[in-house]
Amino acid sequence: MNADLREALSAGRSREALDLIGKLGAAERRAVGKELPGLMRALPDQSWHGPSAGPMRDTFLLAGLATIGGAAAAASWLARTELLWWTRRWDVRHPDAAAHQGPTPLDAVADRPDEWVADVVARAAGRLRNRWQHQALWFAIAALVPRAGGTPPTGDTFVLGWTEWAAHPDRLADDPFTDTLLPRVFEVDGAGHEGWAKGVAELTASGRVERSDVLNWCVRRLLRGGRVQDLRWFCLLHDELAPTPEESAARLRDLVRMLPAAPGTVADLALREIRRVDEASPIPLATFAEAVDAAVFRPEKRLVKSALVWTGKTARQHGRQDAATLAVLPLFTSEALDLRERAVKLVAKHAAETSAETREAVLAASADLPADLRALIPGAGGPGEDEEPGLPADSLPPYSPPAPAPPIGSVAELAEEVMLWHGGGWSGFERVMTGIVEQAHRDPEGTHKALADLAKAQPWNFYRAYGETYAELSVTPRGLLDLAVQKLAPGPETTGVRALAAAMRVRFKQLTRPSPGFWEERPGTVPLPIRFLAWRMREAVDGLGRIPFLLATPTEANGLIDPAVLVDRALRYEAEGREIGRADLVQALLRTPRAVDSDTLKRAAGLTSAEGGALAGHLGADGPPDPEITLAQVTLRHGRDPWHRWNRESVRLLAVSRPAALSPALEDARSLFALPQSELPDGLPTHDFWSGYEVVPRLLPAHRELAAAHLLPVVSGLPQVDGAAAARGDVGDAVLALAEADGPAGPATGAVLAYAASDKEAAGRAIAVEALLVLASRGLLPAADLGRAVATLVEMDVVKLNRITGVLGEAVHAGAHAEVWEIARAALPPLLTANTARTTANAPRGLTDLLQLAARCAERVGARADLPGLAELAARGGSSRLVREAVRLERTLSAER
Amino acid sequence: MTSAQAFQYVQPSALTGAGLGLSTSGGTTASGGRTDHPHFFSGLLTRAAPAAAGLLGLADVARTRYHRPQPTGLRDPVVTCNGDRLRMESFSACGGVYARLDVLQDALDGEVVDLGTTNVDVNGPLREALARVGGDEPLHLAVGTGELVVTTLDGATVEKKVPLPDRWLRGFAEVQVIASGFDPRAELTAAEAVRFLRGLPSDSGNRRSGPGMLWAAPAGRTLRLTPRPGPGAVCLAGTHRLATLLPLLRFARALRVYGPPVAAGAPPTASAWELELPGMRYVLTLSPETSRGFSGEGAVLGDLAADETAADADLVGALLAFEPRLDADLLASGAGLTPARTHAALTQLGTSGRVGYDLAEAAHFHRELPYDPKRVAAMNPRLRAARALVDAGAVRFESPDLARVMTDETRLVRLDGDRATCTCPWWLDNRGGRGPCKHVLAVRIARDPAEAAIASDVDTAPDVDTASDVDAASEALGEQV
Repeated sequence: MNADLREALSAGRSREALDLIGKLGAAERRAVGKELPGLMRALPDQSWHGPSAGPMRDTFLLAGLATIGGAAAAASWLARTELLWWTRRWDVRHPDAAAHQGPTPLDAVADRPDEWVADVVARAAGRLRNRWQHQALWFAIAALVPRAGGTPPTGDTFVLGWTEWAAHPDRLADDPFTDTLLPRVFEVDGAGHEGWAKGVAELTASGRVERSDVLNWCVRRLLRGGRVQDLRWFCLLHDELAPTPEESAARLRDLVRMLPAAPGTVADLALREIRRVDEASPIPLATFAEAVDAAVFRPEKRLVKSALVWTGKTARQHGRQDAATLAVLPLFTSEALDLRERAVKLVAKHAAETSAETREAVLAASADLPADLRALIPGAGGPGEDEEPGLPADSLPPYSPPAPAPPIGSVAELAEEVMLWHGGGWSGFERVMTGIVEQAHRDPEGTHKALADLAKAQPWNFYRAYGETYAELSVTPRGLLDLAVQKLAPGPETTGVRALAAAMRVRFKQLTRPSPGFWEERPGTVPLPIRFLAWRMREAVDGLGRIPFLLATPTEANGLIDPAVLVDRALRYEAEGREIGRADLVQALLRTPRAVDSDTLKRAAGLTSAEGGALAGHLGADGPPDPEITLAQVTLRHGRDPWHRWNRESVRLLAVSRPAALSPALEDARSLFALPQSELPDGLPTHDFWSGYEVVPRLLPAHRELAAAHLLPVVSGLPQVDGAAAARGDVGDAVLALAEADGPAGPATGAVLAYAASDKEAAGRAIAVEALLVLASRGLLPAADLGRAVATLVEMDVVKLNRITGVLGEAVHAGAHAEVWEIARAALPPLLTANTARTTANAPRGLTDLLQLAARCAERVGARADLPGLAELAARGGSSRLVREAVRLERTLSAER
Repeated sequence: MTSAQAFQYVQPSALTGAGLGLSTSGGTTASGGRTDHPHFFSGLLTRAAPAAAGLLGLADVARTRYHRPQPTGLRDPVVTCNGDRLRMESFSACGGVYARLDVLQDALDGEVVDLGTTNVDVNGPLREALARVGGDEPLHLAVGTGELVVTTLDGATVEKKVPLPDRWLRGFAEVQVIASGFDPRAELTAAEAVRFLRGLPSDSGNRRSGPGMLWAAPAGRTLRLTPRPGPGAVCLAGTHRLATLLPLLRFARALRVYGPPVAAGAPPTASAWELELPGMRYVLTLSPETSRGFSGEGAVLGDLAADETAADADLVGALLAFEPRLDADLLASGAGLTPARTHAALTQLGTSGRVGYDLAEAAHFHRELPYDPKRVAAMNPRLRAARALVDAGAVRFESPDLARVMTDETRLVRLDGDRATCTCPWWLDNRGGRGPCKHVLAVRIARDPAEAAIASDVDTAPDVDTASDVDAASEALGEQV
């Protein structure tokens, strides 16, 4: 390569470079071609990014095209990423391209034979991808096409590139590639978008492409299926083309085959076209039967309704009664009650004109219909043989409580457990700390070594923030873990001045240790039950090495302690002469179940220490006091951001309790029983990033209502209907733990379930269904309270009724008919009476579905009741779905047995 | 590692007036060993519409990447003729979904020419034609052709070059071994199946744990979706992976669900969903998570630790003759082995792609995957890494039970009899659910050099990487759409 050429290439003067190359002979050109990559690499980096980078890339590209010998090598050269620069510079259609002064690829290949250019085009098209960077490559190939025989390559990627980058739907007629590539657009997935529909329709109208061809391609593409986004513009195109019934009749078979499996919009189109064809001239009976079969099976209700209307209109006209009846029979078991009713009425209307086999099939299918519908069918009416009101056929599966996790048995297991806990906040921390206490008593050095090893391997789990005060440090799990490690460190010498100083230091620390009540006084954003847990854990850390085990370790997965085991533990404490920790004792008392047998009481009477006496007294008492909890609407302000003058407000349903008489042993926990917590005037209690809400029901396993009351502030943020959502905690596990706890369930539990059922995320709603079913199978579901809570929340406009109805529907499918009926029975009257003032259009969405669900459950259970407000709604008249469902429910509830 | 495999067909598969003609490429047959274009079956499919829909479902599974919604190149289904049934299998591009359509004797009416396994061509026009099949009339089917077709026209031969990463092959083979540990968990009637499958929440299941994971627990006559596992529950990660079942619902008679034993608090597991169609069965086996392919499961390492498994597998393999149901007792007596060793041999054969597992029959079947067998049974990368650690002297013993493996960060391996624990993040995430990590393997090898000899017989290749690497590998090869 001579110096002139080299300089022209480096400077980016493509015209000059091409001229110089043109003067070279064939062998010299090939030599230049071989040197080009080296030259490119040798150029300094900044010249690729400076102002002359663009022309330089052009020059190299064109030079390569002009000099490289083999077609494959030339195609690879075209596809080099360094050379893919400004994209549309060779697009003759683009307005900017006219300004492009330099030579185009056509000039570069002026001396090459046609077959060579065609080869390069074909290979380069093979290397094309759909990335935006390859746009330039597409245009380079497109620029070479005239020399390659005029027909563009038809590979999938080339077609996609054409639709995305080059073709404009309004100017398809001018595009040279249209004739070859338009048919391919109907074959490649993802080609085209909505703007194309009009363009292609105009092209067809102008006669450039055959109308029947386009219709064929369109219908075949719809039949082939794919993603809805890809198919939408074909539906638009079909509508734009407006085929006549004759034209559609020619493609009838494809349309019918589209019906079963295509996405909703395509199936809409197919059914519409089939009906038009049928109107113009009746379609054969087999086709009709197939179409109605497929339409009735679809999940979209509008298609089913359309098919029913069509069948109703044309069955008698064309003598299709048999086929129509048989096709409509599957709807007798449908869950959409309005569709079921329509189907029954249709069958009843044509019953007289059908054949004997069809009538038998109808009778078989109507065995499961409710009495009022069955009466419509001639020959099937009359009192049913097995009309048993009451128990539904599906009953709930029995509840089996999960097994408690086994205690940690060795230091190795403890190390693994700490690693699994992985700094995960309060959930799982109690187990870790219990293990540390037990292992430290057995083997202090081993435990210390294991924990110290872990601290070195994973220092973030034991993080100690500088500047945190001693008091604050102990409230975070990681701080407590750090304290535990320090506590376990092997002690210094026991004699000498140093030892004395150390002992004095320890004593000083003990004296200045925050008093046990600190957990109540300290204001903060940590919820009260968590602080209670922190207090107890802090006490455990202080007693590390001395305490053999913690008294209040639960024996069951939901947090309860078996009273016999508890008394055994207390006796062991006394036998070893140790003092039971204050927090430990309170927690143990909170965790005792309500029923204690007399053997245990007798043994408990043998406890002699003060704490033991308190324990025995508590066990022997009638039962822990239940504070009366009511719900009240509270307005909360979010955000203490000083920059925002207005703080967002939201109305939540929170719990208020009236103070109850507590036994003296539980005095320390008094603040747990008193709600609301007055130190949080605005804002909800937020939490650490890692939440641990599921520990709350496990701290109060025998007081479900109280735990629910503590959970309400955070659970009320789940629906996220009002924009002022606080940081959303991970409360799913907490709701489930609440369902597994013991103790009476009341308004607070109902409110928690109602909020959880209206969760914005579907996963949260699945957990609400599970919690509902757990409570239902234990027979503890507060159905009336839940219904009232739902009604109140809907009135407050902080939940979406359709979400709750979905959750209740899921519960019904699992078999909870009776319970959901009770819930609906409590929820509907307030909703309906509040609704009488509103027009039907303003009713809360989901009310219709709730009415239908209530009707289904009432039908199953055989309930008879009088719901206030229902009669007024039913009497409103009109044909809206709301009124019709109200009528149906009223009819079900007042039916004669 | 990926290498492209070339498939050659004499002509493209087509659905014409004469019926459905599926073109075959190279494979193994019972009569002639490796044949270029075997001919398996000529006859009638008595129910055309469900068969066509099932075949379309297979083709859809093969070309979908379920963890990243982007279509990829079509990988041709594998067809096995077992004498009384035709089995068509395909494996998704992400390596997480395995689909099989078994066309049983009730739906076939014709002449079985030969037994064997091969690939069949499924192309765009065929898919279109299959979508058009409807009604109840029978359809002629020919798998392979009888005549010696001479390519008269240029271009009548179809040649496809498809990249097949190692991981994909291993996953395809390993699915069978995992499925052999499943039990039937639930059976739903057609109506319940329709309601359940249509009511599935759309969920791409991309999150590793927490709300993204769904479990289906049997509840009465149907299944209920719950967020946490209980006994008898089946894991369903990524509900969109069951999408190919939806078009088949209109023919469905029952839905059966299979899964491994699950206790409360269990990690995600694989599951199988079988739809019973008239005379056919369509089964989907799903991996534990959307982003996890099948080839990362080390569950088989236990079975393959013994020295003699490879030799046993060869022995048992020689006895196979494309039977539809392999009877373990017969094989044991035929090969002169104990049932335990036969079972281990079948596992080994499964991971080399030489047997499959039929859940409905609860038995293995013989088929030879038409891919290079050496690639399928490649060396376990985890074992390679463990060896490298030992050779580099990175394992240091502090006590007989505690070892330190010095990689970039020190990993503590604690051995407790049979159990071992490690402090690496991969172990903490999986806790033995995917076999031992490389540190544990390295410690085991270092402690007992004899184990190194045993471990080298481990021919499976579970891999730590996820499905996204399958992607990257196939993209690197420049997949054609």
